[in-house]
Amino acid sequence: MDALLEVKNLQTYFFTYEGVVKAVDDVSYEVMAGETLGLVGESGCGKSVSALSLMRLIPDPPGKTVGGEVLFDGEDILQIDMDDMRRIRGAKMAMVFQEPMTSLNPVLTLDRQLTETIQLHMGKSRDEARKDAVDLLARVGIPDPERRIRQYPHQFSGGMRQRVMIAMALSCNPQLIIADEPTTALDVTIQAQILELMKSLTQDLGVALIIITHNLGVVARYADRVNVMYAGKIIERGSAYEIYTNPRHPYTVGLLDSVPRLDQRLADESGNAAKLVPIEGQPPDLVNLPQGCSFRARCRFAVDQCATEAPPLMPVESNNSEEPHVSACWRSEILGVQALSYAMGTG
Amino acid sequence: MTTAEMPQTAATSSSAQDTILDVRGLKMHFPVTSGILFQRAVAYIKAVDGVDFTVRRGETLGMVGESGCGKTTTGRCILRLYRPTDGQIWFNGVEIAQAKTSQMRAMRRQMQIIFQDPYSSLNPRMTAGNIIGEPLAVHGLVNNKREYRERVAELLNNVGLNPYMADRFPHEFSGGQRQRIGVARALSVDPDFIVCDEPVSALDVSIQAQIINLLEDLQERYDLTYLFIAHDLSVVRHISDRVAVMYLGKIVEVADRNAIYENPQHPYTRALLSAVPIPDPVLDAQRERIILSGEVPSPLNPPSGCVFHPRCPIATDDCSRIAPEAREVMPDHIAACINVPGYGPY
Repeated sequence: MDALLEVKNLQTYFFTYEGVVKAVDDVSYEVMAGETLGLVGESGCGKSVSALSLMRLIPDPPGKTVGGEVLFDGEDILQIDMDDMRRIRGAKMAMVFQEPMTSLNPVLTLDRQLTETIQLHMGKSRDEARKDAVDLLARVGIPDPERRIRQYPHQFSGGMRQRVMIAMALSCNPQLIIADEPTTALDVTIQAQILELMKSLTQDLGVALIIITHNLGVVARYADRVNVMYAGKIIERGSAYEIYTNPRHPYTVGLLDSVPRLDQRLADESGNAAKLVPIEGQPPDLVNLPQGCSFRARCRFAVDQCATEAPPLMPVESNNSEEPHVSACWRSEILGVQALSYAMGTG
Repeated sequence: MTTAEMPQTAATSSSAQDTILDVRGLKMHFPVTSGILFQRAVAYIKAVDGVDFTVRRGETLGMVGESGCGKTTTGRCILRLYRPTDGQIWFNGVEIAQAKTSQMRAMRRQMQIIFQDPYSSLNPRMTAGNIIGEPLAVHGLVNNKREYRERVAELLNNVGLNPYMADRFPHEFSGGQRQRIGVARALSVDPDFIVCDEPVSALDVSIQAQIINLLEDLQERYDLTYLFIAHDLSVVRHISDRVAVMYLGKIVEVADRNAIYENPQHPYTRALLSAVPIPDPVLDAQRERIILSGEVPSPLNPPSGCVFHPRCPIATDDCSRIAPEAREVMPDHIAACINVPGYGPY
């Protein structure tokens, strides 16, 4: 399969009074046409900034994409001028933001907001665009779209607004949608509705989807492949199955251990509830990243090498040879054994 | 503390011993007003509409539901941060639903709250030490400055912070540390009962586990009873002994945590559980998935009969007429649905 989007050594820094914040530091990944890619990590790990960098929406100053390439359909979109970028943004790559409450314009009706992009990118007349917009609203499951399109965002609930955002993202038949925490602001039952909708629409239309989230469950259910980010870097990548069954980076293992699971309650030998295993400490300050591996200070497996050399992404033994599984850890071999004993102990 | 008024004893004196909190028919209706000078109520938001439950001493009762279902309002009514519209709240054998403000002030030595948002619930102009120490001064629990400082240092230690941090201001702490300050503040008066209102939902996943473990340790050490309010079902399963599920101002199901997760009876509980993805792609693909249509109706104008019937996959004609009461459908398993086996004639 051909890569639709190739991100190579992307570096986005923020120049602040405290120093240079390396929000995204040498990140590379690919998105295949039509696939769903998960980007997981905690707040401040650079997952949103990396997505905004792809769309060239980083506020400058203080932010700047200082290095790397983003090849979209073979073209480096970091090099093209802003007019050309505008033709791609919304038309070929679209974005769904986290906050459906703040990302719609409160003083314009949906009609104006939805038809604007269609008129601009597809060269349609106002009437044609409105017809398209009504179809889109019906498609994302908004009842009575003819009437609803004349309403303002405040007349919609959170879930409905997120449906509108999805309709807007789909309006110009993009090849890639970037969804930045699309359901974090929504309730669980509505979250399920929205994610199912995105999954089925992107599958039907063959659109590639990048889901950015901190929710490991969402990624497990909806993503084909997963990138795990920590302190501005991708530290592990593999198929969703591999990442969850055979995690090979201590941070990924820690994340999986620290979330309580709905389907099981950890218990010790005598049947009493076992404690969660938190990752001790705090994520590092991105201005003063430690030398070597940035996870070292919180890592149970750290050795001397970790303090001096930052580990690159290296292939690990995987159960699926078609999809490479890589981890940025010097000691990923040991983790394989650990993970196995963990799975046997609790499974 | 309630010497002015002889405390009434709970009607069921036998169970009063191990029941710390008994809520009966609790209602909290907020008026929607109209007019500028002469405001009159034109409608009522039925945030909590007839809720019954008990909390046993030493246990953690989890309370789950979606936003707007009334779980936070219930917690705040118990602490009497609101005056309930109707119903009774028996706390340690004393009815407090309509108690006077002065009586409540004394009661709050026994009941405390940990708030959701550690960023807005701490006064930015007070030091961590003063935030934690203020209840000590208010309730007269310390005699002099030295005792005050020692107790604050002890509390900071107990929640895993360093005593020298007492002089810092909230903005100097991370989210997880701020929540620890909130926990220390709640503990300062040595309460029996703490309402934890979404204590971890504003925190990152790796930090959530630290706070959950802290709450569990403190419960063991100080024999605390928790009402743990959260929308994250996985967290609730981990920390609770029993779980109550709320929907639109009513409790739809209460049971032991294993029973509610492994054998949910109410159709809303089933849908809620199936909506939560689990971090395991293989197991997750095998789970039953119920996607509810529609959204939670407005508590201004709740549906007739069972409030869940417009979204319910198993609703019958009777559901739009009959408002089901919560009944024991199995031993220690309460559900409010006429279509649940074991509910009996209605």
